[in-house]
Amino acid sequence: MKRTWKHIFIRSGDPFIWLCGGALAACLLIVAGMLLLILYNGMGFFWPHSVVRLNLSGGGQIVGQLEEREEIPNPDNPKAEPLHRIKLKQGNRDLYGGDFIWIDEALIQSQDAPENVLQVERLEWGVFFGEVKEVKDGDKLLASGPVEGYAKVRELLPAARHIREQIDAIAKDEVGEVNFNEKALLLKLKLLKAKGVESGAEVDALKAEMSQWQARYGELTRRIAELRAKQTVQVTFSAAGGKDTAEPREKTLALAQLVRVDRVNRMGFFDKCGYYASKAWEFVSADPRESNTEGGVFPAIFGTVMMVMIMSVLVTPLGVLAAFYLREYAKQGAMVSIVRIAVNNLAGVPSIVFGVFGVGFFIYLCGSAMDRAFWPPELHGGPRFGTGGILWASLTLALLTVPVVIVATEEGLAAIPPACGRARWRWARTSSRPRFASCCRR
Amino acid sequence: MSEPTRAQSSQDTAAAKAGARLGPPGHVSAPFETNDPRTARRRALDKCAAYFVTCGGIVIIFSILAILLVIVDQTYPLFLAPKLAPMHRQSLGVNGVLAVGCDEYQSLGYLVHEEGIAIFDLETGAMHPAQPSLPLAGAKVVAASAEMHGNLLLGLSDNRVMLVCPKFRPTFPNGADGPRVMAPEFESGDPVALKAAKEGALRSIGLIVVDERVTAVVGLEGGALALLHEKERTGGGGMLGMDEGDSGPKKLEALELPVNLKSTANCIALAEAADYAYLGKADGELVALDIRAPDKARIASQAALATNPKPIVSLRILLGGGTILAGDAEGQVQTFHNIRQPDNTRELTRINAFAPHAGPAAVSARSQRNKSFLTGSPDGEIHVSYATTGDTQMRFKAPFGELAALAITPKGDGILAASRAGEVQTWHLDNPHPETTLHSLFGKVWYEGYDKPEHVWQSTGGTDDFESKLGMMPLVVGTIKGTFYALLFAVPLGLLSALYVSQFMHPSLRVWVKPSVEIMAAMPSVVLGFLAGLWLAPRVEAVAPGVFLAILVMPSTILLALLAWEYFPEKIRHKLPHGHEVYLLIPLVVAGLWISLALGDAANFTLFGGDYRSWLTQSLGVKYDQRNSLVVGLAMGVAVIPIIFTIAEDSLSNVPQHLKAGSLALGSTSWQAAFRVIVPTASPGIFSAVMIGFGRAVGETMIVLMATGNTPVMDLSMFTGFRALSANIAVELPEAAKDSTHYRALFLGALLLFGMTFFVNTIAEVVRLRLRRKYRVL
Repeated sequence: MKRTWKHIFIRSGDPFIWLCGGALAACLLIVAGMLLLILYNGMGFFWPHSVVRLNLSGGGQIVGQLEEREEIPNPDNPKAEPLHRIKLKQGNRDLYGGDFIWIDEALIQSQDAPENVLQVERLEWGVFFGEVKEVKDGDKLLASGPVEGYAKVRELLPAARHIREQIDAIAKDEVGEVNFNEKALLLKLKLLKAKGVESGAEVDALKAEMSQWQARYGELTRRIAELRAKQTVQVTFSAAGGKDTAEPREKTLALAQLVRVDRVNRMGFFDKCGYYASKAWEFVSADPRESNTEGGVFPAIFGTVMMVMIMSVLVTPLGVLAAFYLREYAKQGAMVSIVRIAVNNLAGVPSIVFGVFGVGFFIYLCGSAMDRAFWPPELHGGPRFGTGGILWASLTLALLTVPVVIVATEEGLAAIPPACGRARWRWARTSSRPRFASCCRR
Repeated sequence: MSEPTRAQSSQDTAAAKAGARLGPPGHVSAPFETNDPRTARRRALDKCAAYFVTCGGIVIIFSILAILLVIVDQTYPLFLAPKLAPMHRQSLGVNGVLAVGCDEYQSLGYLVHEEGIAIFDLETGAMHPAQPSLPLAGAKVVAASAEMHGNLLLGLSDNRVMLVCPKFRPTFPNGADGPRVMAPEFESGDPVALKAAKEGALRSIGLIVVDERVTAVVGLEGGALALLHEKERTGGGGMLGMDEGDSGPKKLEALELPVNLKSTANCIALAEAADYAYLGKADGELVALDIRAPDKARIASQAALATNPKPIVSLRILLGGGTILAGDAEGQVQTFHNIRQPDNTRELTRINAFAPHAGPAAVSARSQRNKSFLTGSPDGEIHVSYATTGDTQMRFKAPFGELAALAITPKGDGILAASRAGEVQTWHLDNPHPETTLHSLFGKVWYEGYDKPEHVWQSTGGTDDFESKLGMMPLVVGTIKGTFYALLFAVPLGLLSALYVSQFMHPSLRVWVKPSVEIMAAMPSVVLGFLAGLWLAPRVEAVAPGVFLAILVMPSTILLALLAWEYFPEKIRHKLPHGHEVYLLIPLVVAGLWISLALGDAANFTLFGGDYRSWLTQSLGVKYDQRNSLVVGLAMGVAVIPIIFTIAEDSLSNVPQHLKAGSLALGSTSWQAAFRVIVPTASPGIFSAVMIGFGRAVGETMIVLMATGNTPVMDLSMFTGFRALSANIAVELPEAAKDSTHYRALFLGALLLFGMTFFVNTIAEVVRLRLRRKYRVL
């Protein structure tokens, strides 16, 4: 049957159906596009990029990784053949002053990928690109030349890392313990002083303990100094001259400063995969370095997980209890309906409102009151509970999620047929538990 | 709402207890009643559980509702009236009081009277052992300027003036832990004779100190004026062993001003930059005198308090230096700004008129912390007002007549009043939030330095005398603006998709399409905001004309494709049965987007000369910010779409199937059945979907925080950013001092958000409940 235009467009409603479908297609595309965008930008971040060497017509030489390419805007003459420029990550911030540089493509005379150039990740100053010139232990030459030097650096790096980790562990954990105990002792002394006790057995005992900790501190500093004394290997790199000169520049770095040294231009696919995996693991397991530009996000992950766990422990029994009350014990009437609507609506109240409540109630009201109650005012070395912390964050978050749990649990309870002839508590314990357990884990 | 709820809940508790004994309503009670000990134990256990659950449940529900109470509790002090408590009343045997003041701890006070200065203990009224002696040489003090950063200028009856610096230094005579004792340190400069002495007796003095430099204007009987300023310091301050900051006695120099006012200046005040002197004259005129070049001083502008002017009897410059407070002999109190006009002249403009006094408003005092001020009339009536809001917060009477001087203590926590005969009364003043009234929070306010009343949110500034401007309207407008653009994008997409999925899509596709749209809701909004601000915003900026064209181009692409599809051979068309159109539509949408971006690029070059942004600015006067409402609309739309989609889809697919079946059986097409039968039936659900989407968009924080410039502006243009209530709280709450006005204003913002979302969600919920009831009937 040949359909008329009018039939197609008005009566059948096909155009409207197609438009609705178009809206759905747009939604699906948004979802897919967003996921792909995040995956592409997020997953690609650790993939090693090869390093190029550019010889510039002005005599300069730049080594780095290509970041992006764009057209040079030419508003005066829009018809002209467009010129391009590239953004290069040249690293070596301490030598050139900046990590990134824009280069007009017209200036590039030749381009190659030097085999022996290393991508060096270090503790300070960001990434470094260069070739090993020599490796020295004090005055003793261990290796020289890019190939031999690289092999030597790779060989020595694990030991150097081990020493660094030992130093970090002492500085963080053991010295931290000393500090913590000394602080606690000082507080005890202060408390005694506030009571008027300035001498006597108690004070002497505390002071003796204090001197023990101080001795321990001295020992720890000595151990750190011993370990530091082992860090004697220096690596001299030769880096590209930069934008203005082809003359290579030298940079000597302590081996202890180096985190990761890779000959990226010689990596095969599986080497790159290994590199990728190790960087990704570092990202989720390590502490951040260099004001959060390097290293990992482990503390953030830890904090998030911890907060959510505390929150769940708090919220599950409370929410379930409230839902139980509303559904099973409260007299069903207008008031309970109003409370129910209010609880439902709290689930839609913006989280920032809960945040404001957390600040006003938990931090400033509860926290300050706890500070006043637990510590005499003269010992106040700043707020302890009266400031932001994971406990208050979890409590606020619990409050934010309680309405959701109540609503979900109530829905679950409503689906269970009422018990016949059994005490209500027995009924609740036996028949409804499995059901709401699944409901409240939303 | 707490009270009735609590009462009702205690009833509930009673009912629950009863229920625990008798068995729940609707539950069948135990079929056997025996005295079996196991049953008794069970019953006891059941009772315990009932108590526990009831108490726990009520406590939890109340603690949730307590959120509202806490926020309200933090907010309501903004609107409280100041509290005043009388403290001490002293009678000092001095006469002809001109000014009163005290140190910042309110322990010592001073009175300027006709024979000099008396320092006394505010609590006991005893004269302090160290009294300053002024070289008056038999003359009497007849005028005193307002205190300026610890400086006072006294005018003597023999037409000399004298600078005194009343200073109080805290000392600890019994060691650092001992009590604080204030020690007065009065410095006085040498008296300076006015050159214009012959013209008339000294009547009034205005003083200002800028960067430790003193400038003063003295008014004489008959209208002559003299200017005093510090002699230029000859560079070698070190020669005298003093550095620049040392506030030793200053050497003043008197000049005659070449202006004749024709009428005596009753009172004088100087602008903060010492560029203008304001004179209140006996003939009722308020005059701004330009004194930037003293030898060319001229009258810059004039104003009057009323059409029938009465002598101006008091004048003050309030903190900030731009607000002039004037009181006249009839009791009128008004504030003025000396506003710069487009032609660079100045005009004294009336800003606010305050509650008038019954008698002349002859006495006034300003706060050193904010724009609070006091006015008083000789009969003892005192008003506490706030300049910016125009609000007279409080009126009270001094316990004596002949009120001659008023002062607000340096910390703003007390009021001093003195009578001409030397009686002094102090009050404790508790006025933490004078700058907020309902009008100042939600209405247009004429702030200092602005040329008209405006809605402004600007909570912090760089200087000490910065006045925070806490107008909530820019934030409310920002919130609404962001929500509007988000819904503009999300409502059509969400509802149309829901309609398609619920009515036209093949069930085999539906099972995976629905969760994949809903997965968008799982995306944390901080990720969306991050993408919108850093990835989307620059790209939208590059293709903005194309984005607008997409609204037209994408539907037309789909319609044209449909037309073309009708002419495809049947064989191909059969490969795409109804309910699977989406396979074809996905590439079509991509194509539509590509076409609209290409067309947009072409339009940018042909219509706008390659730069649509300068075209916008030049032709429409619209500024284009990179992070604008359009970007926020798109990003927040993405956050809202799954919510609208889910709720709308649920209510559409819950419409009883027999309605659709009946409609189809009567010969309607599936579109007609869906649009004429299903959609109207489900319309309450669709409405509540939109409402809940609205609620979500209103409260969204991270997206608006990251994807807009966060400038609190009042326009509705989609090319500019905005600052939303939620983002404002997130940005400013960590820096707001606890219990400050700013802190409470942020709580008010939270309360507004709470109110908006709670209101909208309640409507949606009620509508949805009704719908559920309707379905039950069907």
